[in-house]
Amino acid sequence: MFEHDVLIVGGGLAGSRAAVAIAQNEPSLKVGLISKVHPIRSHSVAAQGGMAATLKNVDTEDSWLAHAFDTVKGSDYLADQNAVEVLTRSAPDVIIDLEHLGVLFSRLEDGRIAQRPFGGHSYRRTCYAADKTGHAILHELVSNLFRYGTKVYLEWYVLQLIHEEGEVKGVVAYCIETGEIEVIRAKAVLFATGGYGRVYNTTSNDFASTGDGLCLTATAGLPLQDMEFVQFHPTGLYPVGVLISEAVRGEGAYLINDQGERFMANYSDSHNKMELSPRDITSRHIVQEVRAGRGIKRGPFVHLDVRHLGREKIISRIPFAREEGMRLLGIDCIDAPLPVRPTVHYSMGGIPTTVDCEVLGVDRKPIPGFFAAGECACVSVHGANRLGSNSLLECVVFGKRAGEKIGAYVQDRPMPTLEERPYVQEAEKLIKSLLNKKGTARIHDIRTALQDAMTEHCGIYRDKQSIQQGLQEVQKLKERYEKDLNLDDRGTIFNMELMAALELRSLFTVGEMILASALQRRESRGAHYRSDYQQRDDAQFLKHSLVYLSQDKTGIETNTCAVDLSLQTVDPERFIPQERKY
Amino acid sequence: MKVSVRIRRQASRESKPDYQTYSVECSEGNTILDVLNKIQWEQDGSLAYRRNCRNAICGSCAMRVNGRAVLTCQNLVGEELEDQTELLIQPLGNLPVIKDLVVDMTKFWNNLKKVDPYVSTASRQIPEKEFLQLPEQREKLQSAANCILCGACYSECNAAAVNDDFVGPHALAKAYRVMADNRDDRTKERIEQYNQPGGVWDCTRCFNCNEVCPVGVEPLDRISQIKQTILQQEKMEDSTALRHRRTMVELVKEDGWIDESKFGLKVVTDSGRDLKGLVSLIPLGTRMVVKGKMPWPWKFKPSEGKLEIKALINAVSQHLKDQRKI
Repeated sequence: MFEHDVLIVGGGLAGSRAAVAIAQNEPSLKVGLISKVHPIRSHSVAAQGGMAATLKNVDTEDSWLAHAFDTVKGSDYLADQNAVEVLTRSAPDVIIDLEHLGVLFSRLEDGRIAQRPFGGHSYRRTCYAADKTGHAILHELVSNLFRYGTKVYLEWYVLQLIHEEGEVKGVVAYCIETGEIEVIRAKAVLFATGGYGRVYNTTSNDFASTGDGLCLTATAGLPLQDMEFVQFHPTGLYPVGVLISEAVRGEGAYLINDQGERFMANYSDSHNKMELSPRDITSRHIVQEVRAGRGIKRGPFVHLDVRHLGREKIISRIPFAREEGMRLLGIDCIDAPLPVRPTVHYSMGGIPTTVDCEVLGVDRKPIPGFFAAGECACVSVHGANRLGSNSLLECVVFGKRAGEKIGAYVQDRPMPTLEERPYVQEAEKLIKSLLNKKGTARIHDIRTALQDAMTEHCGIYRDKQSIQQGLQEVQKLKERYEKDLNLDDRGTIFNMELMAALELRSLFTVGEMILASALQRRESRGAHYRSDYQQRDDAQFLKHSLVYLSQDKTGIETNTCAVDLSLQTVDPERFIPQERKY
Repeated sequence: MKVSVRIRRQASRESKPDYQTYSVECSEGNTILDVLNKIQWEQDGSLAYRRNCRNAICGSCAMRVNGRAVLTCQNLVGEELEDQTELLIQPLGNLPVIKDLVVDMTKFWNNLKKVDPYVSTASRQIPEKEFLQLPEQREKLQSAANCILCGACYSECNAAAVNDDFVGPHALAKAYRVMADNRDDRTKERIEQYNQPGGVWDCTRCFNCNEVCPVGVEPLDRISQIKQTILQQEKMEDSTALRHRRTMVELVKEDGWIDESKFGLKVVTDSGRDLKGLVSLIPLGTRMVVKGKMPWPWKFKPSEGKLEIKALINAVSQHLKDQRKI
């Protein structure tokens, strides 16, 4: 059994930032960071557009309250306003911290950090590093992990969250290279495990985004929150699904249909902000254009056109987007428009936490020893729809905050006691049973069927019938997985098929949680659009949804809890829920 | 189209490698990674390799394709098949294989750590706001900062292949990125550090790193920039590498070309002052005498154009001096 004061699961922006915070503030603590990929390969590295903060370097009249309002409005009033306050008030400081760590932000002529406009933000407040912002930040953070000598379990996969006697005591982990199984005990466990884009068939997310942390939490009997809110980013490159950054629209790109129109002008909720409308609205309009037969050559995509920006601006501001088009489609956006369609991008829901990153149980009380931050957490700062530039911000604000809170928290918490053997035995049994799967179905086929079912039945548009059908199909696929799965690789050395089989469990659980949450929310809000309930219904549904396994773990139960509306006292005119118009 | 893909397989660290050929239905526009995925998903689930973002930014999927390291999510089947009939896929070089196409990158990461790869601002007065960095100051770090730490350069590095101490092109590109950052306060220590054995002078300038880098870091150019910075130091502690450079210029200036008999003695033995260095030359010297290759001093003749060459060298050094004053 290994031991750490703090064990961080996930090495992306939130996990790395937390580890650096602990190393800086409490250098005597023994921190371990465990990740199924090298931290520098985490999906944070792919973040392109930027990170919002009211530095006021460009728009001097900007304020944290304006940022908070944009965020709350963007969330369709479902974000917790106390959490949004923490997010937006801390934003300038965490950017300055990163800059002092060496992050190479793009600069203004006078040497200060540059800021640009972004969808849903009313001022120019997005700090960026060309269009590789995540790369710029993550590389500096990981360099600092090296600097502080943080113990990293490279390419280890967490099989189980140890949750007993009402507290979290550690994890059971599996070494991908050797097949070794270890219990890692810790005074505090921080989940920073990212999102679940791979539940769907078209996603901007990397292969590792399989929602493992969410599945482990749910399997431990703890709730997930607001899982029905799945963000489709409007501009995934067709057909591959990788992202063309919102920064491209921030710099002035047009969305064009087959008739050559900038169609965003034709919809009442987007004719003001046009291409810089929030992501949920923009994605729906692209799908509406396609359904109306105005996709390019009647195909399932529209055009993103930057030609009018000119060669120089394209090369200096959005070089990565240009490179993507050339590499993946052979299209140079200087000369021709790029084909795009919505792609699953971000998970607004996740593990419910307090603003201090403490994970909340079904009874809404913090679970001792358990914390979460970043995309896997639901604080909730994004509510029903996240604004661009707010996710890197969330990772850094709450990653740092988690590090600080945990550093203090573990000071007077004893190392939990647990019996190691049953956990190891259970893990061995699981691995063995998977390695012995001798059916006829390939993992890839089952996974693809699941992804297709989720996309078909719980995509941008959904209704009662489609969701119920989705639930049935997932059930059938789960049975097929249990009874008919086959593995080619039966060894324990770097067995990628075994990993895929474990990850597929996560995809099933997360998929079911999304479907169950989507079914109970009989309204349309933010990214959740019910064709059978097209209006927002504050009277019944201005509430977070909670979803968890029943006590006997055979069924799924749902519940709701209140949304924090505390900024109403600061600025009632803006923060009392109202119709969301742009 | 059907493509034949020959892959180096190895079941474990200790196992013997072998080759296995797959036939894959794909198009010219598919990436090499697409092809590997198709094999793993549809034909053989036991094939192991690393992948993640499939968008040339995470650095997971570097491998050797047709003999040189590439990011497999970046290179297309059509490009790779231009003058080949089959795709040959092997793991990165210079690193031990864990399984199939997965290599153990421990050494790669440890070497990176050796250059202290973070911007140090400890001794600076930390301002409430950001440190200023002008766009042109940032611009000169851009190519080095593009690095995604994929390992392609390290795989093809000739110096790393023969010299266990060499930290590698990736580490030195990072070294340049932090050293040249106007916010970093350890420039002096870094110059000292990168001047040591294992640092910039161990690079053999074979150019492979520049050739294979998938994101335009051009590590060799970064290494040259560090060398330039070292050479510009007025008070550098003497080292073999610096003496090598200085002696070469001195000798050429004197005779128009290099008197090999003096060169070894001056550089390796510090003109006889370094006894250990002198002793280290004895085996080589003996072998040279035996093979009749010893450049005896009495056989040396200066170049006929030595005066012209001397004038050229003087003109260049004067020009450099003037420039530094500006």
